[in-house]
Order: sequence, then structure tokens, then C-alpha cells
Amino acid sequence: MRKPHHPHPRRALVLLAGLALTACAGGGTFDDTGDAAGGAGSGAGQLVIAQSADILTMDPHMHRTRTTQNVVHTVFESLVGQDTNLDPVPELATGWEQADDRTWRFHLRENVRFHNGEAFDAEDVKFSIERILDPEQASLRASMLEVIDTVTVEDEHTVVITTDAPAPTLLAGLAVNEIVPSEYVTEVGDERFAAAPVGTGPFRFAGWTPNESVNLTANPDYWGGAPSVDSLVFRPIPEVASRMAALQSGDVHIAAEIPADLAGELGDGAQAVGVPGTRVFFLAMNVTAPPFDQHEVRVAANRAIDKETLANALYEGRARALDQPAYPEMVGYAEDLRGYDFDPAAASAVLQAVPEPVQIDSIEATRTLAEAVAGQLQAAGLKAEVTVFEEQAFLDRIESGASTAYVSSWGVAEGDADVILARHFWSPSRDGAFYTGYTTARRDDLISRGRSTHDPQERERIYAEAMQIVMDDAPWVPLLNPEEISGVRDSVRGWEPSPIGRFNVADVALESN
Amino acid sequence: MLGFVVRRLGQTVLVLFGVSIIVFSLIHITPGDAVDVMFAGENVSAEQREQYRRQLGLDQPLVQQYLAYMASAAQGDLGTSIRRGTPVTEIIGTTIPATVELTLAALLVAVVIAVPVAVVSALRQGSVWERGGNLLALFGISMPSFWLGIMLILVFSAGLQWFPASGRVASGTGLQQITGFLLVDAVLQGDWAAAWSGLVHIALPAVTLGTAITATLSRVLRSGLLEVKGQDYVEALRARGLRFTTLLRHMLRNALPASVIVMGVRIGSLLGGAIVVEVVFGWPGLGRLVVDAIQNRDFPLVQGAVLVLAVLFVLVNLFTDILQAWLDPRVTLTGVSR
Amino acid sequence: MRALRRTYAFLGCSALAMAAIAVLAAFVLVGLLAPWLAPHDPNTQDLGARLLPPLSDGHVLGTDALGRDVLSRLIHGSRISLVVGFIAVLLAATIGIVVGLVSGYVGGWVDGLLMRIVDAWMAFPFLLLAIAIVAVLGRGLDNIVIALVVTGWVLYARLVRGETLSLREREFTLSARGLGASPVTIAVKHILPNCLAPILVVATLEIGVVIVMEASLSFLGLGASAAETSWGGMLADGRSYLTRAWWLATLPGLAIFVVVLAVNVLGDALRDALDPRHEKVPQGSVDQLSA
Repeated sequence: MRKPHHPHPRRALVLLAGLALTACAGGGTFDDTGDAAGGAGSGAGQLVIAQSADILTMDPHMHRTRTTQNVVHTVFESLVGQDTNLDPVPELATGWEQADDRTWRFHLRENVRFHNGEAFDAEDVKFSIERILDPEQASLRASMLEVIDTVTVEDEHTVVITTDAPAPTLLAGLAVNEIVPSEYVTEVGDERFAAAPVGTGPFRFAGWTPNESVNLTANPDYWGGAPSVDSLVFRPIPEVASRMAALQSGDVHIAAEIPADLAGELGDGAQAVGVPGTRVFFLAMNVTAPPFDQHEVRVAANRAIDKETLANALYEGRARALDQPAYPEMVGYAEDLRGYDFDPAAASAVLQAVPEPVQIDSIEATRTLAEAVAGQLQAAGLKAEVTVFEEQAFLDRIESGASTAYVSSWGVAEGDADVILARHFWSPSRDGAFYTGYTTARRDDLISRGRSTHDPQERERIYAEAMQIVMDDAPWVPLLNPEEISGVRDSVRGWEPSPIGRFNVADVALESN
Repeated sequence: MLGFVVRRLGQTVLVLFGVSIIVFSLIHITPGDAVDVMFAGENVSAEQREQYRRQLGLDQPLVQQYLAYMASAAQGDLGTSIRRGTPVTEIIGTTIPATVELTLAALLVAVVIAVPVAVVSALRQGSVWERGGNLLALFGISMPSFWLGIMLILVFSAGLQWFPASGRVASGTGLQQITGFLLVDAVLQGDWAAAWSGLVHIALPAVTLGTAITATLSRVLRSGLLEVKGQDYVEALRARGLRFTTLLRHMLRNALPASVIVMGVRIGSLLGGAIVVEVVFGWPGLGRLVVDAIQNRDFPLVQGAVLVLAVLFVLVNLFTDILQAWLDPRVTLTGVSR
Repeated sequence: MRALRRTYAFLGCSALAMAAIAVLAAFVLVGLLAPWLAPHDPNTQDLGARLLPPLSDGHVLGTDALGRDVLSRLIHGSRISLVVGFIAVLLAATIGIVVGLVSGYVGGWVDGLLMRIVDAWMAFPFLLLAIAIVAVLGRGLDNIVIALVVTGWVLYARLVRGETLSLREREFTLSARGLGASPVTIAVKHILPNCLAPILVVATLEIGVVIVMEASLSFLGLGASAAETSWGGMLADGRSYLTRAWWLATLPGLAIFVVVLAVNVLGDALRDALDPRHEKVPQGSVDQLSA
């Protein structure tokens, strides 16, 4: 439900208006702690976490970035959560079962209240899911739940969800979409809701100073027990060096997204903690244009890349070399895959004969990896050069098929091979599989079956076969799966990094430092 | 005088229009528009995108879009940010005080350092002091500000840990916003911890931004002082045995207006230099907002931010022009001569 | 030799100015001879030798995140600065001179219009305009040069117009006109030579400004693309490694600083020699402020 935006008649002198607006804008504070948002936690202290970017909004349905979600998820919660193995665990739903392969019944947690006192019930679940799927809402998250057909309220604490087709990844999709209070949102509208968000989570929203901090206070009535810290602050520090400096000096307690080759710099009160990540980095090749339209060139490219060296040099060993577009914890990872070993001689034999220069596209964030890959291809005789694009221009190029080859990553927080296979190698996803222009009837068929089957073992078998086909045809060179590394101060107790970069801070405590 | 002001105001309005047209066309030259950005990577059909375009009015001819935009801008509505979904005016409003504060701090640094340096240089002409001062000033204007900023971070932040490397104030101070100027607000509320934190955070960025102007200001002031010093009446005053400080005051009073005039041009461009410094130090100001918005392809925000930045710049220039005319009436007759 | 001595005297017998000329000459030479001077290929990676500090074996100034030799990259990077510095200034000056001549000579409403445009142009912080242009056109050396020319021509236009206005009514111009010389001839043969001095001063100083602007653009990620090694780009890359490999950010910046310093010293000396009372090129009108 999107309200039309009404321009407020204001003085035309934008300069003065700007100054006046600061006073009016939310009547905020510079870093907003100690606002009259209520209670203190049972413990002491304020935990400060630094991320690489600021949030875009506090409305859980109107964004699509990890850095925003990490913050939003401390205020809001989803039906299910994910443990460190990415398996679904109860969150706002205490249990669930399937009536048939398209019908799911969820039992909701009782005696849960939103921060404004509103009771949490099945109406809120229905409202939230429908809000995400509502075309007028234009939520960027709609595609994650598009398989859902209907949501029915059976009783106050039971919700039934039906899907268009069998959806084994439904739980993973629900895990990353939070529940909002139906009455509150309907009453105040989207804009006010985003300005004063209200959820069921362990922390309450206290204020957001854009580009400076998001401030949260502990929710003493949290159903899982009050958090051990009084308040939580998220600070965006895009510069890696500054982020680490802030951690080192004690200005922040946790610094996220520390690059592997700088992790060793931390010391003296802080340390680097890593956990296997959920991003798959790869080199994609356009199979519809030379030179990668030839199968043997693609295979040679696979053989030219020394992933172990990349992992050791660029990531100081804190990355896993991948032989397929999946990481080991994923459902659908093929254990006994026949991949390609690093074989520079065999690679050169083919690549040296390729006359045309190859342009490898990349965004700034993956530039170093792309340049290293290009360097290895060059060493094998291929004339490869890297060109860096802005994100939007990059997406345009790969979507339109203008790109000959590109280095990119795909985050698979859901932990299921379907996500990456369907997105990139499945014809129905797009005309000519999304981004690579590569499709095979046999593999399409496998992926379709994998999506609709529920027997886990059957799915593993299906996906293993699909993976093998993908690697045989070699439209990609799977590269690495790096660790997610965060810096933590010694005074922080009870915190573990999560593979998807979440911050499970409900149980974290601060020692007096 | 009044005629001059009116004329300049008229020119300024024209210039502002020109600026807005430039900004508007720049944005719309880019291939791909706001809707493409919003739905990047999503399975949104072409029809749905068209529908959204119609909703946002993006399918209308450019001139019409421009007029509509200017009409709402005049009312204070600069559109809605694609990435954040909040009104652009609001977002910009929160960043302006930070940039203004930084600019003023830099100016303060510049004045505090440049005036003594210029005075010493002018009075001790030909001496080591003068040459040293000159050389230092040359160093100041030759140093790229982003390099200086990074060096300062390396030495004073990462190395000595005397100053923080980013941000405006330490977390957890709970300072209420009254004017939006952190240091002012801290003093008004008697929150000395926050004031100290604010000072410590603004130190390095202010020095970085201030260095280049310090150098320019000291050179300009020195030339001005030299010019004044050479004039007859100064010799006469000195012969009369006037005290040194009084003499100094006379000289400064005569040299300053000329310096202000020249500085007026540079003060405006300080806003441009602030962009780089804000990015290096993660300072939450308008400059950094513009760069972020451009990299995120957040068109309404880019448009609004660039427009506001340019407007600020134009207004500062207007103000200094009027100031210059007031100080030097010849200007009103011949037109601005820089 | 005599030429050197005359230059020395011309520039106020300043050893500093001569040193500046030497530095700039070296800069140009290095840029021209880069492929032969650089000990390594600037793009050859050596993943086993990443982030080596200066004075390491075979790498006098160390290596970067991909094991590429810093000294070689600095040497090749000078070419970008050279190209940008000279070409952008040359083009901007040409355009500016033409506009200024036309505006000053023709006068009337043409002059008024052109000067209004110049005013509007100068109303923009230059760096912002350059950022916007590059953001629209995309990265790459040619686009940077375009952006720098588009922002830089106004200075020359204004300068030349002023000179043209004052020279237009002088005797030699009037007599030339009386003799029936065409406006173009008058402009080129009589007026232009008299403008050369201040133009030279401004152009010299602008080289420094332009080099810093290119570096700023590359630093903000809007400049030379990945394949072209630019000093500003090297600085941007080295920023994350500040604590681990300080030389990656320090050395490129030092290079920029030295070149710009030399340019400014030379420009100052030229100004003192050609415009001793600082009338035509006032102190502080062309001091780089990255904007």
C-alpha cells in the first residue's frame, strides 16, 4: 500500500530550508541513544558494530541489501531462522508441517508482542507476506516469495501457506523476510512506519542518523529473554582501513567484512574471527560468442586457473577453492564431481591459439580477484584484460549478453543449490538462461525436478547430476568460497559470526573493558 | 549600489536556471533510468516497468519532466530517493550542516595559521622566515587533499591513535540535535564529552581541507600586506613612532578587503574540495552524499544533491560579490573583475 | 648553455625555479621513455610476491596487492599524468582563447552572452562538474580529458577577453584596422601575442590543477579504468592496505605532490617574471583546490 507523495509547501530557499530541516527532521539526535524509547537491558553497556554501508531503510520489505538486513533483523523477525549450518530453526513459528507438497501449515509462537504492544498473530503473517507480494507495494523482495499462492489464517496462531508448485526452498525464502505489525502499518502508512519501525525482535528502534549510526535499545520484553546489552549501535564505515582503525581503538566492538589479507593486522585487544561464507565467486563465460562458444576453450580456461594459489595469495588461505558452483554446506553439492585440475600445459595448448582479445568485466568490489584471474589466463596465453564497471552498467552488460566474460559472486544464504542453478542455468528463469546464455534440455529438466521434489536424498541425487552436467559443459569457472571475517574486540563475549553475515546479538555480553 | 545588487540577483537567478538545466540534462543523458535501477536484477517484466514509469511520470517528454521537477523543487520537493524511499530534501537536509561545519572549521584553521604566517612574511621580507613561509605555502597548495588526508590518517590515527579516522562523533553520546551543528549543540547542552569528541573528530578533516586555503590565504594576504606596506602613509605613520601593534592593525585593515575578495572565489570552491575530504574521512556531509548517490545511480538524489550544492556555491559567490562591491565601489561600475 | 643562463636570469635568478624545470623535464622524459625505464612490466602479477615492502629483492619500491612492481607502475603512471596534464590544458586553452578573442573583439551582445555562459560555468565547483561528466560518460582516459577540458576552458576565456578588451582600443590595433586588416588577422597577429604571457602563466599553473583533478577522479573511482595505471588509481587501491602496506598509498601521492610542486614553483617564477605586479594573473586565482 503505497501512499502518493504530497509535496509540502515549503520555503523555496532550499539553503535555509536545509538548515531548518535538520531541526525538524525527526527531531533527531546526533547518535540518538538515550531516546525515550524505553527500557534498559538486563545487562550493561552498549555494543557498537561497524559495517561497510549504511542501511537504506528500516522497512524490512523495501530493500535488498545484506547490510540493511543485518540491522533490520535485530528489530524484526521472520517465521523461521537459520542456524550456522543454514538449516531452518523456529523463530516466530514454533513448528511446521506439510499437508501435501503444496501446502504448509505453520504454528505460531504465542504471547509475543510487537514493540508497541500489539499482539503478534496469524493476521500479521498474512499481512506481511501479502505486502511483499503486492505489486503496488513494489517490494524488491517479491521474487523471493513469488512461489507462494495463498496465505490463509486458520486461527489466531496457525497460518496455512499454499504454493504454486512444490517449493523445497520456501523455508529459506521465509527466513529472510520479516514479519511486520499489520495494525500499526495500516494505521500509520509506509512512510511513518519506516521512520518509526516496530517489530518483535530483541532490540527496539531508537533512531537513525543517516551515514552516521542506527541506534537500538534492548527490548526487555523479548520472548527469548532480554538481551545482555543495553543498547546496540550500527555504524557505517565504508573505508576498510578506517573500520579496522575504529575497531583497534575501541570505538567499535565488532567490525564486519574484514578482507582476508588484512585480518592479520588486528591485534592488541581485537582479533579476526572467520566462518565459512555463503558466496560463490566465479568467472562466467558467454557461450554464445567467440571464443567461449567453443567448448574446448572453456575447458582450457578452467584448467588455466590455479585456485589454490588464488586462495592462498589473495585470501591468505581463508577461502575454499571450488570445483563446482556450490560450496560444501549447500544442499545439492556433488561430493564426487569430476572437475578440472589446474593444468597450465594443457590450458596453454588451447588458449594460445585464441586470436581475439578477451574482455573480462567486473565491478570494483571484485576487481582484485578479476585481475588475478586475468593474470593467470594471460600466463596461459589468452589475451585477457579486465574492465571495471559501475554496478548498474555491469548488470546491463551481463543481462543483455554484451559481456564476453565476467567475474562476479552469488550469495546463497539459503544454502540450497536450487538458488544458484535456477538463477543462472535454467531456461525458464529468463530467455536463454539468466546471464550466461547457456541452456541444456537435460539439465533444465533436472532442475525442474529438483525444485519440485521433497525427498532430500532424491534432491541431492538430482542436483549432483545437474552439477556434473554443468561442469561438463563448463559455462563457468567456479573460483572460490571465501570466509566471512569479522574483527571482534576481546571484551565481547558470546558472539559468533554467521555465515550469512548476520549479527545474532541477543546473547552477546560486554565485559567491562 | 542597489542597482548593482539587483542586477547581480537577476544574473544569479539566470545562472541558477542554467545550472538546473545542466544538472537535469546530465542525469537524463545516462542510459537506463530510475526504473531500471529500482528493479535491477529482478524478474520484473517490461510491461510492469512501463507501468511504473507511467506512475512516476518518466514517460513524458523531457521538457515537461523538467518543468514539473522545477515546479516541485520550488516548493521544496526534490523527489524521492530510489534506494531509500525517503524524500530527497530530507536526506540532503541532514547532510548540509555537516558540510557547513567542516567548511567553517577549515576556514578557521586557515585564518588562524595564515594570518600570522603572512604578517611575519611581509614584515621580515627577504629573510629566512619569508622564504620559509613562501615555501610552506607552496607545499600547501601542491599537496593533493586526499593524499594529505590519508597521510594524516596514517600517522595520527592508525599510528599514534590520537585522532579517529572517520565519523563525526563517538557513539553513545546521546546528543540532541538543535541546530544540526554538532559543536554548537554540544555547547548549548553543556555536554562537554560530546563537544570534545566532536572536536577530536573534526580535527583531521578540517586540517586537511584547510591546508590548501591556508596556503592560498597566506600568499594573498602577504601580497596585500606588502602592497600596503609600500605605501607612503605607512612610512609616515612609522616615522610618527606609532606602536607596532597599532601599525599592524592599520595594515591588516587595509589589506584584508583585497584578500577577502580573492578568497571569496576560493571559499565557494571549498565546497568542491570538501567532496574529496568527506570521502576520505567518511564525513557524513553533502559531498560524500553526492559521490555515494552517483555510484548507486540514485538519480533523484544525485539531481537534488548536485542542484543544492551548486545553489550553495552560487549563493556564496553572490554574497562575496556583494561584499566585494561594498568594500570596493569601483566594482559596481565596471562589473565584476576578478 | 647560454639558453640556460638566460632562462635562469629571466626567472629571477631563482635556483628553485631551475630545479623545478629540471624536475618537470625529468617527468616528461620518464613518461616518454617509460617502457624502457621500467624494470618490470607494470601489469605482470606475481601472486607469490604480494605486498613486499620497498627495498625488497628486485623491487626497489615494493609490490602491490597482486605482486606488481610499484616502481614500474609509478613510471608508467606518469604517462597518464603527462597526457592529461598537457593535452587537457592545451585543448582547454585553445578553446578558451578562441572564445575569449571572439568575445572581447566582437563585443556587444555576443560578448554579453558568452560572458554570461562563462559565469554560469564558473558557478559550478569544477570537481563536481567533472565528476558528473565522467559519471555520465563512463570511465576512461578520454572521458577524463573531456571532463577536464569542459571545466577548464573558462579561465582562459575570461583572461583573453579581458586582454582583448583593453588592447582593442590601442593605437596599433586601430591603425591595423584602418589599414583594412581582417579581424582574424588583427586578433591573431596583434592581440594574441600580447596575451601570451598571462596565458603561459595560467596554463603552467593549470597543469598542476589538472593533474590533481585527474588523480582525484581516479581516487573516487571515476577515473582511469583498471587497465590504465594512474597515480590516483594506485592511491585508491592502496588505501585499504594503509596499515599493512603504507607505501602503496604514500608513494603515488608523493609523485603527484612533487610534480605539482614543481609546476607551481615554475608558474610562480613565470608570473613574477612576466607579470610582476600580479595584475593580470592575481595571486590566488589559479591555486589548485581540487575544485
